Order: sequence, then structure tokens, then C-alpha cells
Amino acid sequence: MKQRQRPALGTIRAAALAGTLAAAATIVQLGGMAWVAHQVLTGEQLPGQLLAVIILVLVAIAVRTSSVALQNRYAASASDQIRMALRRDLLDHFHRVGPVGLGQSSAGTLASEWLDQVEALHGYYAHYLPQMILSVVVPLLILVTVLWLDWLAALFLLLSAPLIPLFMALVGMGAEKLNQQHMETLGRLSGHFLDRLRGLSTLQLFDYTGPATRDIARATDEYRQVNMKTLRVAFLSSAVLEFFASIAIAVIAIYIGFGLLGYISYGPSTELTLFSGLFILLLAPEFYQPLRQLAQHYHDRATALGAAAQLRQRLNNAPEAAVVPGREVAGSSTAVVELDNVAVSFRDGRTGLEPLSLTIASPQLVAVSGPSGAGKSTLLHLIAGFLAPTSGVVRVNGELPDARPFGWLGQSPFIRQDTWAGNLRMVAPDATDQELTDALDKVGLGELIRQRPLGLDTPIQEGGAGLSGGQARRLATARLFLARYPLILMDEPTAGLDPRSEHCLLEAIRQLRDQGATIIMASHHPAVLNAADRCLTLVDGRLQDE
Amino acid sequence: MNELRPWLRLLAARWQRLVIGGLLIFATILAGVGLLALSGWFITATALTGLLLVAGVAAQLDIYTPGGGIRFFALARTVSRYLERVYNHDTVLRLLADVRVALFTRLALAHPGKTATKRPADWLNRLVADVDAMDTLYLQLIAPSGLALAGLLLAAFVMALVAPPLLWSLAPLTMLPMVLYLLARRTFAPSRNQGEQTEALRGRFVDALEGNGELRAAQLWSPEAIALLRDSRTLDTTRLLVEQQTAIANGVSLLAIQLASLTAMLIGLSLWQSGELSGPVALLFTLAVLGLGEAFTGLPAAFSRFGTTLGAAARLNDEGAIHTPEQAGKPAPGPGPLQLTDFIVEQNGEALIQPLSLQLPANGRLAILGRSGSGKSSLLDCLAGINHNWRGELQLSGHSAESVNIDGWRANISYLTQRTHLFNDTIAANLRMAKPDATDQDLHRILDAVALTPLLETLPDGIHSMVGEQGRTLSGGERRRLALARALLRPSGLLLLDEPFTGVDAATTRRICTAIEPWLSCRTCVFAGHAVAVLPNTGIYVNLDEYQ
Repeated sequence: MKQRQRPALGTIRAAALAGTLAAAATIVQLGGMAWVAHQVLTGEQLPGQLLAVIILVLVAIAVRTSSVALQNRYAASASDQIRMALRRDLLDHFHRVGPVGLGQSSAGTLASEWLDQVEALHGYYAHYLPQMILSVVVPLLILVTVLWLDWLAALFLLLSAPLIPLFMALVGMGAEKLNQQHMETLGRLSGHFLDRLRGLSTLQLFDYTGPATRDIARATDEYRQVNMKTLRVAFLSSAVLEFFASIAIAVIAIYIGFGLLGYISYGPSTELTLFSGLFILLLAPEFYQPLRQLAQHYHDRATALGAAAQLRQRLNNAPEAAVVPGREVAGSSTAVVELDNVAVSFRDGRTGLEPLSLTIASPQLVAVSGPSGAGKSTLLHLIAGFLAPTSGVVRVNGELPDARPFGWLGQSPFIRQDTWAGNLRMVAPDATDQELTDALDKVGLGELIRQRPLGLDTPIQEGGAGLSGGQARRLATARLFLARYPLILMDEPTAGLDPRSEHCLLEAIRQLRDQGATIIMASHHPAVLNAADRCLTLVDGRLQDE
Repeated sequence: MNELRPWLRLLAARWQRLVIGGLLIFATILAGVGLLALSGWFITATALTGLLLVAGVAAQLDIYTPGGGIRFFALARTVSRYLERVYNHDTVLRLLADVRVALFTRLALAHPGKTATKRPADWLNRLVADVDAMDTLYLQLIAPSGLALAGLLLAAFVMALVAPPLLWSLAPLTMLPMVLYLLARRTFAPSRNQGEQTEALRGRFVDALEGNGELRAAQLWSPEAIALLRDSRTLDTTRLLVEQQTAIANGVSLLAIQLASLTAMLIGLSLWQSGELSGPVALLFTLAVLGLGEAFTGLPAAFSRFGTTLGAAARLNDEGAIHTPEQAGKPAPGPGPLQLTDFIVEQNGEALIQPLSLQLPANGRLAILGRSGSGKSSLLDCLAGINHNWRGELQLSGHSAESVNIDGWRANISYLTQRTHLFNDTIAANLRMAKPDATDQDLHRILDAVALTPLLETLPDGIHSMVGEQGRTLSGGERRRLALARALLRPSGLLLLDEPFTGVDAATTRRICTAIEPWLSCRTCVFAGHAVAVLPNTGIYVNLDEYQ
């Protein structure tokens, strides 16, 4: 978190400075008001001076309020740069990790990190850090002022000063515990509630919503009781701070009162006036105010620390066999795909691929088969450049694997929340409507889209909702027709498809080959293998003889 | 504002707790005001008496009563603050339960097919966040604004009683409602839309990550990443706008409080000069107004979130439906003949299947075959009464589906859907949903029929073992078989099974098909699958593929 702070430092300092300015203006304002009261009530007033001080007080109020507004304004944008930089770094990281590494975490978790956890850092930079500075500077400023007015009263405040770190620790412990407990309870509760919500239609089908509703009420109440036990203790720590703030005001008020009456003949008490007495009284609550605010922002810190730890772990987690860009590819080859003594071994010691050499000289339809875990996907990932080989060289058209765009069709194709046309034009921005419809016809989706009243402008919901799995994969295949990639890689393109969808897709793939594309498919489906020009078989990471 | 009505009604049900909680907050504010005001009075009184004493005038001041009062207020503030926090936190947790139960009850009454169209994870996240927004309605919005107003009225009342000219000092505070109204109005749209925009961005992000391979291959990842960053930037800007408006409102409300306190002092002093007020009382009001300021500090932040709360309320109001279940027109329990005449399932206004007419006798069996997307599941949904997009005639036990109330219809049907849910509970609890009075022996018998006895033997707690979130501790095939057992256990006249053996190997499938015969033979059954081999023994087939 520290090294990321740099871009925010200016704003944090500005917020703290505005807060300090507000505190200084507060001191001037309260002093002015005490002075006015003193002058009027003791009858020493000089009308000209009085007016001048009232104007001073007004100016001080203006400065104070605008400083507070400024402080909040600075605070609001404190984490702006940090969050943007983090989001960019995370996206870069996701890109570096590549599809292979990303597959290890659920997209939902990554989305929550990218959005929610990054957002959770805001409170720390915006509120906690500036308040941290203010909770030292402002009490000091007030202490100096009180010292000038009456050193005995200042001593009261000073005596409570060593207690302040103690308070903070107490508050911190309390807040942390509170936060933890609260989050845990809410998490468990949400889990229970979420589980019932997810299964709502199942509950309805079994006529079981009544008992389930009672169950939700019971679980929530049970958690409430457990939670309250801890909260009763946790709230005590902030009560202690509150207590000291109240007592300090009371003690100072009584001390000043007695001093003014002349009951205390010791020290500076004899020199107390209505002005100094009132001034000190007005300052006393302000002495504790920054601390009370810090306690309020303490949970920001706890939340941010949790988020930061998770994000740090994500960013430091070097991906397995990450892609190293810009590596030299020696030799010049005209083959479409050439693997030269390539081997892959994973970090956990597993061997992905034994050293193998493979050349695909001219456009053809290649099927890679073999039992699951034999390395079919690893081979595809190598050719795609999603995975760097442990040794050996991969060349595609004599260049690095991902030097030029190529086609990739996985099991879950990329479907954007856009229209059909938008999803197709992603790869071919200049394609005409006719070309789009032709491409859809080739994958057997033309009829479907002609039936819709909006045609190509029919929207597709996010995540491809409203499309069946087979339709989504055929839509992605239509994109391949539009993009005219020379190389297309497919990982189990027909998995989970019914015979008709499978037939449609294979027919489309053959057409792609006829147009001069090299297609490499990993599959163990007989229909796919029959359609191929060339079959490669992998067993335990070893290429069998063809 | 109408959006909030149901939620306010919900709050009103706990009015006693809300009043007590509110009074505790008010007591805290009053104790704070009292502490400052009395201290100010005390110092002024002692200072003036001190001056008289120095001047040699015999003056007297009772120092013990105010001293005691100061100590009382100091203690009272601490105690009431502590009690207030504990009590109100308890209330918030109770309200959370109320909100959840109310929402769930409404959702439960709604049509089962309704939520299926939304992407469930997003919908659930949204729903839970909205529920959380509602449980702070009282503590962050209603209580503080109500109490600030109450404090203001109390101050006005006391001022009118003691010295009416002091009322002018409250004039600056009257601009606060205006400021808060303006703040709420300006931040309304951005706060309201923020939630939806975040979810849209989340959806786009998830799509981009899941399609990462394809994007990367086409060298389209960078434009997509830039678009994602740009969208997140737009969100940040919106939020910054809200916070900046709040910052200004914070400044203005502070200005109002300080001006009020200064005015109170100046008016008080002039009243003292004209002899209408004693010096200490004049200053008492200055400090009281200053102390009252604490009641106003949280308001701008609360009002800037007004749009969020209202948006959440509106979305939650749209969820579920209010319909009163009727018990009339139930099809007779037990097996009955099923009859379809010119039956068509529709989707987006298009026919999904060709008109279907068939008659299935009581205890008869029908298998619906077809490729994925051929409309098998939609057809079963129609039979189960959770999909109403059909035309034609549908009769069960001589009752027409149109004449029967939907709850009554569903009561006689047991339906294993393709994506059924296992609850994070024990195996027994998951099964007893279907038949609450089932004995342990019943459960063991049905589990044995679906070949889950070997699994039970490996579990130390047997049928009382937890299945984990969405049945995570079980394999896909085990989950499917447990769900099948649950559907078989439910007493019903019509049994619908949709792809009952997904993820179960062929040998086990054949074994289960024989073992579950006793549960099948006593009712009318409709099965759906992509081939005959994956279904129990059946008399009549309908192949939707050939049908087209």
C-alpha cells in the first residue's frame, strides 16, 4: 500500500493542510467569540474594536467552513489516481497471465477484485490518512493555545495526551474486532440468504417456501444474538474515548469556575479571566474531536488493509509459464506452424509436453486427439502463444506465435452485451450487413436472425443469455468467416453440442479450410476426427506416430 | 417517494424500538448540549461573581448544583451514547431480518419462471446490495433528520419561552433543509444509477475475462481493456461528483451552525445590555446552539445517498409479486390422465414446437426426446405450471390448466429441473424438503435406489452430512442423483424428470432405472432427454426433432 501512495500524497497533504487551516480558523473564531463575550459582559467594550473582532470572527467562520469543504473535496479525489493505476495494472496483469492462468480463478472473483476491492481502498486514502495527520496536528495546535492561556488547564489536556495512543489502540482493537465480527456475520448471513435465493425456484417447486422463510428469520435472529454479545464489548472501547472527552470538559469547566471565583490560589488560576476561561472551555471539545473522527474512520483502514492484501497477492502471483514477449525466434521458415523440439513442464513438476517437433507446412484441417490430460490443450496454448515453452521454439509463419491476429474458439466464446451485428463487427468493422448475414448463414444461424423483427440489430444480453451454448459457439464461428484469419485454433469445439449443432459447426469448419485457413482442433470426438485432413494423437504429453 | 412506502411500513411495525432508539440518540445529543451549555453558564457566572468579589461586593454563587449538573451531563452523554449504539445496532439487525423475510416472502409468491431470465449471479448480488441499502434507511436517514428537527424545535421552544428575540439566531439553520434538498436532488440521478452502472461494468468485465483467449488471439484485448478502464473512469467521475456536492453541503451546514451560534451570542449580549437576560444565560444559549450542531453533521452524507436508497427500494419493489394464493380447483391428488390438445410452446412470440396432441392414461409414461434447444425443458416447464407461454389445451386428471389456480396445479406435481439447487444443509434436510414427515428409513431406501449408499458409507455423519454450498462436497453425478431422489420422494400425481442422469455413467443409470421403478409405477410420468438410453422405461415417445 505504501509504494502505491505516491500519487495520492499531494492530495492527502492538501486535505490535511485544509483540515489544519480549518482548525486554526476555529481557534481564531472561538477566541474572538470569547473575547467579545468578555468585553461586553465586563463592560470594558470599545465599540470600534468590538466591531472589528466580530468581523474577524465572521472571516474566521468563512475560512473554517470553506476549508472544511476543501478538505472533503480533496479527500474525495485522494485515491482517484491510485485506483485508476491499480485497475490498469490489474488489467495488464490479467493480460500477462493469459487465458491459461486466468482459468484458475473464477471470473466473478477477479471482477470483485477489480471493482470492489480497488474501491475499498478509497476510505483509507480519503479519510483515514488525512485524519491520522490531523489527529496529531490539531490537538497540538489547541494545546499550544491553551498553554498560552493557562498552563494548568493545558496540563489537564497534556495529562490526557499520553492516554491518547492508548485510546487509539483501544479504539483500534475495538473497531477491528467489530469490523471483523460484523463482516463475518454479514458474510455468513448473506451466504445463508443467498443460498435460499439461489434455490428459490426449487423451493417453490417443492412447496417449501414457508419453512424456508421461517428458516431465514431464525438464522438472522440467531446471528443477531451472537453478534450483539461481541458488539456490547466492542462498543465499550469507543465509550471510553467518549467518556474521557466528556470528563475533560467537565473537569476543565469546574477548574476554571473555581479559579475565577478565587478558590484556587495556586499557579496561573488567579490570572484567569472570563475571556481565557470561556476560550479554554470552547477549545476543550475540539481537542478530542479529531480523535473521535479517526475512530469513525478506523473501519476504513481495516477494510482497505484486507483489500490491499488480496490485491497484492494477486499482482505478485507470477503466472505459470507466463508469456514472455519479444523473444528472438531464430531461423526463417515458411511453414504455417512449426514446433522445434518444444517441451513444457509445469511448476508443480508435472510434465505438460515431452520434447516434440511438428511442422504444418500448408493450410489443412488438423485434429489433435488423445485422452484427457494428454496435453492437447497445452499444445494449442503453445501455438496460440498463451503459454511459453520451457525449451524449444514455436513459430507461426516464421514469427512469434501471437505476432499476428488469429482465430481462437474455446468452449465459452466471447459474447458481448451488444447487438448481433456489434458482436460480429468486432473483428470486421467494415463488413456490410449482407456479409454479416452470409457469415451467419454459413453457421446455420441466418434463419434465426431473419425471424427476429430487429434482424441483425437484435440485442444479445450480457453473458450471451438468451443464446444456447451451441448458438453462441456458432456465432463465434461466424466471426471467423468475417475475419478471414490464416490460422484458427479450436479447443473442443463440439463439446456438449447436440448432433445437429455439431454437424452444422463441422460443416462450417470445413468451409473455413476450403477458404485457405489452417485449422487445428483439439478433440476426441469421432465426428471431428473423421472430418480432419490430418490426425495427431497425444498420449501422456508425447506425440504418437501419425 | 412512493417507492419507500412498503419499507416505511416495515419500519413502522417496529415503531417501539425505533422510538426508544431515537430517544436514546436524542438523550445523547441533549446531554452534549447540556454539558456545553451548563459549563458555559458556570464559567460566566463564576467570572462575573469573581469580579464582584474583587470589587468588594458581597456576592454569592451556588457552585455545587451546577458542578453536579456538569458531572451528570458528562456521565449521561457517555452512557446514553453507549446504550444508543448497542440498542440501535440490535434494531438494525432485526430490521435486516424483517427486510429479508418480507422480500423473500414476496419473491416466493412470484411466478417461479420469472427470475430465470436474469443472469442469476448478477441479480443476486444486486438484490443483496439493495437489501443492505434498505436496512440503513432508519439509522442513517430517518432518525438523524428527525432528531435534528426535534432538537431545533426544542431549542426554538425554550428560546420562545425565555427570550423570543433569540429565535432569530435559528434563522441561519433554516437554510439547511434547502441545502439538503438541493443536495439530494443534484446527487439523485448519479447515486441512483451508480449501482446499475457498476453491475453493467462487472458484466462486461466478466465477459471480457471469460472470452480472454478469443480477444487476445484477435488482438482485441487492448481496445477492450481501454474500454473497461474508460467505463470505470466514468463511474469514478460520477462518484466524485456526488462527493464534491456533499463536501460543499458539509461546508454550508457548518457555516449555518457557526453563524447561528454567533448570532445567538450577539443577540444574547444585547439582551443582557437591555437587562432582559442575565450574562450567564446569554452565553448558555450560544453554547447550546454550538452543541446542537452535532446533530446536523451527518446529514449531508445521508442525503447524498438518498438516490441510492430510493433506487434500491424501487428495484426491490419490482421484484416478486403480490398475489394471494387460492386453494380452489386443485386437481385430484394421485395419478391422473394427462391430455394435450394442439399444444404449442412459445418463446418470444414464436412457436418453439409444432402443435402436439396426445393422451397419457393415469400411471402412463411419456418420453420427450430432442436435441438441445428443441424445447424439451420449456415443454416440461409448461406442464409443471411455471411457464405460461403456451397455447392449446392442457388437462391433468380432467382439470384444465386454465381453470386451476397455479398453486393448486403445482401441488400435485414433482419436477426435477435441469438445474436444480441443493441447499447448504444436510443430505436429510435436502430430502425432507420434498416430504417433511419422511422417516430416516424412507430416506435410506430412496438413497439406495439412486445408488448413493456407497457414498453414505464414506460419510461419517451419513445422511446428516452437510452437502456444502450448492452441493459442492459431492461430485456432479452424486448431486444429480440426490436431486433425483428428492424429486422421487415428493408425493405427487405427475412426475416430471428433465435429463435425470446428467453426469451419471451408463451402467449406474441402468441400475437406477430398475431400482426406482416402485417410485415411478404409482404415478403418471413424463421424462425428457436427448436419447431413450438415458431415460427409465417408457411406453410412448415424442421426438421433437422429427416432429418439426
